[in-house]
Amino acid sequence: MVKKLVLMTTGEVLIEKIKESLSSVLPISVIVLLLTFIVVPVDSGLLLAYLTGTVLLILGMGFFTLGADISMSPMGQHIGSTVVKKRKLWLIILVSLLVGTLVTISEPDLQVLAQQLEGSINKTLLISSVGIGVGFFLVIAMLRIVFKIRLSYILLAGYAIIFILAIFAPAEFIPAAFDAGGVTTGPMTVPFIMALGVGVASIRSDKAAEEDSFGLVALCSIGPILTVMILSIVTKANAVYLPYAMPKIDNSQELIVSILKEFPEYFLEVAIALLPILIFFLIYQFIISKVQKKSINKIMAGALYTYIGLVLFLTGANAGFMPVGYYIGTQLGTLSYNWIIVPIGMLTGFFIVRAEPAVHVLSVQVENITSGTISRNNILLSLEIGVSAAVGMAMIRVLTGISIFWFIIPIYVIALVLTFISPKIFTSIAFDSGGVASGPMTAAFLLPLASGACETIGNNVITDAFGLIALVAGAPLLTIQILGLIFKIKSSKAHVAEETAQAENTEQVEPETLVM
Amino acid sequence: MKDLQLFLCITKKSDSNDFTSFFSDNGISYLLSNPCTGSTRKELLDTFGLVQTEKVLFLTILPSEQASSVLKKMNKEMMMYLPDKGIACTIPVDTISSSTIKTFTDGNLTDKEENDMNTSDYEMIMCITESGYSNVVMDAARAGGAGGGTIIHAKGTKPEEKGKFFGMTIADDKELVIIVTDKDSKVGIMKSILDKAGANSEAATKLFSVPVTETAGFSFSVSRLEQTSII
Repeated sequence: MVKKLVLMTTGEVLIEKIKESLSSVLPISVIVLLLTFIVVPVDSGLLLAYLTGTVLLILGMGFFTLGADISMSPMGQHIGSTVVKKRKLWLIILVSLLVGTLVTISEPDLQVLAQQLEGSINKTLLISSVGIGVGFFLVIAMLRIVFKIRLSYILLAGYAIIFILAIFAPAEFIPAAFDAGGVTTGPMTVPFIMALGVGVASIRSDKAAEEDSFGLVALCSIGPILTVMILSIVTKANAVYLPYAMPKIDNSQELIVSILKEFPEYFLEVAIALLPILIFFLIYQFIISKVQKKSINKIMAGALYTYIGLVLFLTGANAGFMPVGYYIGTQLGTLSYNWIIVPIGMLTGFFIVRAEPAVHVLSVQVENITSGTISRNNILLSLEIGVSAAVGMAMIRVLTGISIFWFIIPIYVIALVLTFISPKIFTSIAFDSGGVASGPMTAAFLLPLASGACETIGNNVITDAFGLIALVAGAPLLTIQILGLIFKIKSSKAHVAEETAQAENTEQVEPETLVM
Repeated sequence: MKDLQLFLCITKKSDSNDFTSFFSDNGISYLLSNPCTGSTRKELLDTFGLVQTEKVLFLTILPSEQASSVLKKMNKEMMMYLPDKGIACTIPVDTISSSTIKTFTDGNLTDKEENDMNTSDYEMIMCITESGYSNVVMDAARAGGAGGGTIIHAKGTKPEEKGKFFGMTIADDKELVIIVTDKDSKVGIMKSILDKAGANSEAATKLFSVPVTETAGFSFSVSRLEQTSII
């Protein structure tokens, strides 16, 4: 009997995780599958790869979210809460710099971006300088909390510098630079850095604690944009696009071979990604603030889940989704009615957000911190609308080749103005979501889709397809802050109603007494 | 003394929506809720993250009669007789402000005689411990015979000056462990906690117990399985 009960509760957790990951991955999978049935016929080998990829994605997502919940988040929270408790400014600076740099260097998404830019900037140079850039901005983000500087001011200053630098940077690098901002804050960085902020907030008792739990990822997204721009100015490099090599899959056997070839690559890559953080955490907790053995065991088990999850997820995304995305893109580009790529992009954009692993972490965190006042569904819907619009804009760029500035400048100007109107917590969440919404799924499906279309239409991939991630990262800044405005208006209306009701009742007020 | 009870209910986070609607169906409109963590005996499974430990604590104040009927209804409708479904209990309220009564009830209350305290066989032990030591407290409690407990993250307050670090106010990080137990095992549990996690240990636990009027969700416990007929 007892054994049965134990099994029951265990099953419950697993079933819940599987349900969660199905609900995030299935919608986009079905949409893409329908596309291959209705608009773009795909040969059976590719379809097979895609279906296998979907299964890997679902499994990977399940393991990843479980791992992030019991490993990445507790680690970040522990570091965040204890480093502030020590009340030493130098320690906060040192730890933030190290954490920011280490997590970024190990971000799998950044590796992919570096590969794509390998023709122009040395890979190691790019990765290490972006890492330091993020570390530097994480320091600023932590000091901002300590010294109580308003997030909007720092965002304003950061983006002002970016747009000034953009004048001097080679034009073809600008889309890639903005993409770097969205890409570096991926499935490794987000859970960890977000938890760091929650940890700092958890031990504060002042009023700003809640809204300050967010905003770290937001500032960390500025670092990579700046570094890539500075690098491109300093090295005077020319942007070179390395065309995507389509894998050729004719039968199920070749499929297995192509996936098996991908696996070891990600085994190594994800191990390189996880180890530095784990080692840093072990050293940190040994020197600065010890964690009980029980918790360490749990964190290690969670790290194993995260590892398995990321390997499966990245393999699925890259072996399954990337070729299909690219192929659909090239085929859509040849159609006489190729404008259809805009609505198709918007549709896939809408459903792909849920499948981003980091989005899960953000939405859960928001719901926890605000005790459900800002619900998960509100955040998800705002992201879906934002990303959908962003992909639409990106596809218009693919078709017409108009400069990214026409989109990026208005988005950021409006977003920065909104930071002064929208409630502060929504500003922090909005700028955090920018980095969160653009993760491996965007890089592995939407970007290849745009690149493929761009190639067959005959536009420049580097200037016209790149920049998609930047738009995906930019749109939530608007939608989530608008959500904040709606909240503000609603609550002020409720407030007015309450006050008038109270005013009517004023005569009946009686002195309060204690009843014993 | 008015006839009021502090009503506490702890459930799994995934069930919390069901409970919220159950409460509102039963006319409880003013409800506080707080996330908390459940302890678990399934250590290996917990290490692998396979036990759901996220819980929610609901708090409200009810007239004794209503509290009692809600508890009975909960046992049946929310299937609280099943293990891991959640627990609920009531604690007598002593002093309350007049407006608070209005917030929680319709105001028609009967007075109660001081000596008319009918309490159950249960008591609630509350332990305030340093952050990160709730495990130690729970292990000690279990060694003393406790079945389980609930952990709430809490912030202690310090004098204003002491807590300042530049612009931030840093709170004292604490954990609150709540254990509901029958009266017979209470002393054993409390002694065990004092021995293993008391004031002289790093956990520096402070603890006390309060009487419990009525409970729901305790009909099941592994040791009593054979004596209790379910339903």
